[in-house]
Amino acid sequence: MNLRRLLAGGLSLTVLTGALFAAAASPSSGATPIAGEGIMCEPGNGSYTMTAAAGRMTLPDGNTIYTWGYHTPTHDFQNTAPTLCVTVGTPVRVALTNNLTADTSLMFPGMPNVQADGVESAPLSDATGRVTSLAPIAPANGGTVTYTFTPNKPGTYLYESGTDVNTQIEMGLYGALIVRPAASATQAYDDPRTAFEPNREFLHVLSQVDPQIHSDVELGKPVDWSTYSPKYFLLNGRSAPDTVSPNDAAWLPYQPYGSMVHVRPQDPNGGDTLPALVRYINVMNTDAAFHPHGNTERVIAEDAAPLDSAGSGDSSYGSFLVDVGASRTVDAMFTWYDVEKYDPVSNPIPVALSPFQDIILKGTWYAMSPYLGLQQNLPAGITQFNQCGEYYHMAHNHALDKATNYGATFGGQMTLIRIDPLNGCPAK
Amino acid sequence: MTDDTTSSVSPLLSRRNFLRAGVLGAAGTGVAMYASKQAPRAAAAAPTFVPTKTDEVHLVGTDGWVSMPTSAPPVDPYWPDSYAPNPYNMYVFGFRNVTGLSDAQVIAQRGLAQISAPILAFDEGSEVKISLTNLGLSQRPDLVDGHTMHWHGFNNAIPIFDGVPEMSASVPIGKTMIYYYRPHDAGTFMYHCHFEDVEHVQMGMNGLIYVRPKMNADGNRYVYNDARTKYDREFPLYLSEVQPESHWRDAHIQITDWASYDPGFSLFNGRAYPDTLEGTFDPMTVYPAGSQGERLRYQPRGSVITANAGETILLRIASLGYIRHTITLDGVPLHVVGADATQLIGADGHDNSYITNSVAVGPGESRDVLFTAPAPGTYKLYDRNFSNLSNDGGGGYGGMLTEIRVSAPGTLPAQAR
Repeated sequence: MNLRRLLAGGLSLTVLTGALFAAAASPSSGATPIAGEGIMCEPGNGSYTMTAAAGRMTLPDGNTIYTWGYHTPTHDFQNTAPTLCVTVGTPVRVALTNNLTADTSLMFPGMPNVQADGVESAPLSDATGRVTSLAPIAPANGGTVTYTFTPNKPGTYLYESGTDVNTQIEMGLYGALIVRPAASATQAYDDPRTAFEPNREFLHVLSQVDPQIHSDVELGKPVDWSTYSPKYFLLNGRSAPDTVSPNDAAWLPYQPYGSMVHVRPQDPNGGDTLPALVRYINVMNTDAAFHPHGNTERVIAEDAAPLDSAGSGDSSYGSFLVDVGASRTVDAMFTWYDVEKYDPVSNPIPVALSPFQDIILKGTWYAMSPYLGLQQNLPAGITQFNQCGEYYHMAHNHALDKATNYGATFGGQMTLIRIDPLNGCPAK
Repeated sequence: MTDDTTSSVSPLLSRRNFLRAGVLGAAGTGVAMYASKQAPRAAAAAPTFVPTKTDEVHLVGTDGWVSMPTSAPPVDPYWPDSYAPNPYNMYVFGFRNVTGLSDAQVIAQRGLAQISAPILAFDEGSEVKISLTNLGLSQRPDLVDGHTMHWHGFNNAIPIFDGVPEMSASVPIGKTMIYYYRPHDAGTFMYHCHFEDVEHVQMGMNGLIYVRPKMNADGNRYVYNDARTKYDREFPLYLSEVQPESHWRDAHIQITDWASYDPGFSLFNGRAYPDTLEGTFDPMTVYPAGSQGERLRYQPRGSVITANAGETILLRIASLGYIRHTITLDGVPLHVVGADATQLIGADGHDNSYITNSVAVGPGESRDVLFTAPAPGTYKLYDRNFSNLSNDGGGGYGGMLTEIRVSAPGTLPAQAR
């Protein structure tokens, strides 16, 4: 175990990042993968060496939180846990080492015939028959257990601790399990209508943090759930605006997953591209109402069950608020059409635009022009992240108290949707 | 999701809409339409005010004072707020519709916000120009907050008209910005200020937008462009909550920890029961001292639903609260035909509408609900999450509760537009 940790620590993040992006680039894909964006599948092809460990996460307000997480040798520590992308019919093996000071375990809800060290993974009980864990454990301080299963249905799943579940999931022991159909890695399900644009697949894992619980666990004090009051609200283990930083950003070493959704407009002349796919997983103990600005999304599956009414018809639905119940998953398709095709010369916006003296510019993502693909400089003193006149929309939890960092606005479960000009965004 | 990209840019359509806009503009909008619909209170049989199609709207954003039910137990020092002028008891931010007012009248509305925001109603495909003026905050001259117009759920939005300050622009005090929309999709939408959203939305800058389908050109009323969504009368049921402590803190120059959200009053159309049963008032009218009109003119909309037995009633339910609500109408099946301004049909046209006794509405969600008015009588409509049936933790009933009052067939005239 020490050797493994040593190896993990010795590996260069840069080298690994490059390897990951290379792995994500499917040779058959039509679209180019975008460095640092989109779902970041853990390398491993179904076989993973996972460690449960304690570490720390950083929040945009400067706070640092003691937290637990699963990681593989690609990271020293991480939250959210590695995203496991596997395929129907291909066996999966997860070897877990527990470096925590408490027993822990892994559950794979929705997976068939999960085995733990070769026997059925079933809840454990004490001598009186009371449940002690929902899955066979890796004992504290270095214990191990290996889980195996063969997925039989595609979809978006979560995996999480099965031990002391309320506390351990609050502490960070959760991750995404993506099961791809055997026929195609760019379809969400077997139905060809669930095809998505290659490399336009995004993950939103919603979780939250009550710093009091984390502090109590760190100090070995009893946890009091009756005063539970989460203050940080995370997307893929980060809180906005960190959510728009790229995957594996060097300044967020233990929170490797960004969540910005990045698309190009549908092209009515050149044939539409396929939609982007957004996979939502809610590991909070409350429902989430997630609001993508820019356009209504079409929900195509809930809890890895495609919405085809058992063959009787299409029961997918449009939604500008994506409801993700506690411990549930939702798959939704996102597209954006340049409906009005505004152009400063041939089709100007039909109302007078306020000069910059007459508006407040918090700036930053604004192109200083309302036209897609046109960029002007923001007034001096405002940092501009805009590259080429691309559009940015917000996507956030509409329980707006959860779109905050400890109550401060423009934070929490919030990310951006980036829409490039039709012909792409030239690199600067 | 919109795919009628070709028709949307037709110059012919644009011109027709432009002409229509001119005619309707002349027919009177904005404040005039409120004034003409002021019914005396407690007129159970009077049709609730219905918004008129409007293509040019002038909104202002400002602060003000409103009144929660005075029977609720005081929560010292937060509610009633000691700064509140009689007969009000809670500080708010809000929008007002000042379409057609003179500049002097517009400026005079500073400090006279209303909750919920004025309902805006447009026709699918029309040209919509919304001017938003920031009048500043009379109680908080130290705050120089901007305001914005975020049309919540507008499909294929562009950032300059989406109202997120960090993605485009916001309106400073004393300035006006024009937002332009051409709605291509019918349904029940919302709008709210997106400037420091957790605060400005909670403080009251939120309300409803209706987009009526093109199919209404046949003289009937539909929720969507589908004959199965025909109705006789429509009513708004706009859900929100207020947390008195944070409103007090805003008035008293204190900071709120928004992550500790714990609302005290739950509102239908900006009022808590029993005020939901009061009539519809007008912020521009001076009512007699001590009257309900005086107390509720900045929460102008009542929530009593009136119908003739057998009619099909549309409830446009939407929420910009931060918690989930479950709306029920005792014993009356509710047919949910739309959600989030999208008809409940699959991509293949498969009918996904459903019948239920309880309609769940989460933060930022809308539901289009049809029901058949039952036998004459009075029925209760309320939130089945009973913690929202209390006013500030007090006993008895409050919060999200109103009545459906059904008359014999033929009693009420057709609902006016």
